[in-house]
Amino acid sequence: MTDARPPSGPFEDLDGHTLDELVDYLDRGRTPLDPGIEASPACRIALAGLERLRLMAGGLLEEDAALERTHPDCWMTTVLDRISLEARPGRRFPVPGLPPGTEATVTEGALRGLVRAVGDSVPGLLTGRVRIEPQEPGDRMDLDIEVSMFYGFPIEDTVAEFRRRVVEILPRQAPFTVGRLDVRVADVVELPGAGAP
Amino acid sequence: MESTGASGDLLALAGDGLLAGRAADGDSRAFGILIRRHAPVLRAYVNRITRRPSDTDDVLQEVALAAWQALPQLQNPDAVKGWLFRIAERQAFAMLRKQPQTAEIDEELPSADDSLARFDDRDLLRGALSRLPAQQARVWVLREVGGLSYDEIAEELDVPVSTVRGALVLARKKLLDVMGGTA
Repeated sequence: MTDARPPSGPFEDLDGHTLDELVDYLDRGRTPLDPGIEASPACRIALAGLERLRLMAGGLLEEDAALERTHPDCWMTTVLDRISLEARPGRRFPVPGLPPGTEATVTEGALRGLVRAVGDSVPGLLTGRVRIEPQEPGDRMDLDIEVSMFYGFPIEDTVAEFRRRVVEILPRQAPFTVGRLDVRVADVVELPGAGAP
Repeated sequence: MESTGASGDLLALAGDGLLAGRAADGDSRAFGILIRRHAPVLRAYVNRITRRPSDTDDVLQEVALAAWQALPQLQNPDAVKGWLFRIAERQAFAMLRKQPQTAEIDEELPSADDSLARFDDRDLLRGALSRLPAQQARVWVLREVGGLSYDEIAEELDVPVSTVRGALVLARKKLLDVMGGTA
């Protein structure tokens, strides 16, 4: 290939079809089968080339990334510094049972952080998203928690331990008790280099 | 209260969905792991769209900040990688709009080391892409790598759909020309 080559290459003459047409045909998964296109050697060569290009496009970014893995990420430090200043407090739940005229609240974000910490302290489990719904008269919280389990830990026992700790620790650290407690195991993660604990 | 210690390391093993869920809840540590995990590929994508690697740190910073803001609205945390790609596109376009097109100077993108004598198809593609005019390469990458529709590309680049189609035809012809030589 040279730069002096005119723009019209071997893919100009496609037996009356255009490259654009062939791409649309590929995008449709070559259905319905177009006998005109399929019978043309020029079209078939172009289709094969387009498919090959598409295949290569698939891994292009991963290879680009591999070629310059060692990029410093000071930009990420800046990001983390900035977002740590804007925590997500969420809703504010009034602390129940305070004398009239007194008011205090606990943020949803603080409660979520507490539940996350409790979950992460249970061997074999990682806490994911935590949803909190306060129940009347306001001292009881329904919780819906997503977790990941590490492969090799008994799911039932580990989740039971997590539930026990949440029910026990939440009222100790925050002025609420646990109402309904749903724990959903979203996925099981493999520990590197170990099949079992 | 946030847990520390061993769980910090274990968190790095968590799947995207769990990390995205925690980040949506306000866990900046999970967010950091999630973004760092995908940063190399996001960087490569932004580089391919803008061809301005020296600006990519700034773009990635905007991507991460935008992601942090929008995470609580993410419907499917398991699909967070594709979602980050869409944010990266938007931020890359925003950067392109800020820089006048005439000032566009192509910078060097990753290419294979000739001395390694490991010249495969993708090296050929990489070389061919770098020789395409920026807009043609950009449109091709958005369509074939990013999976954007012609309409989406046209809207983002603020050009008619016919222009996108035209640029794609030219890009594909040139790429096929180069790749065809090794068939």
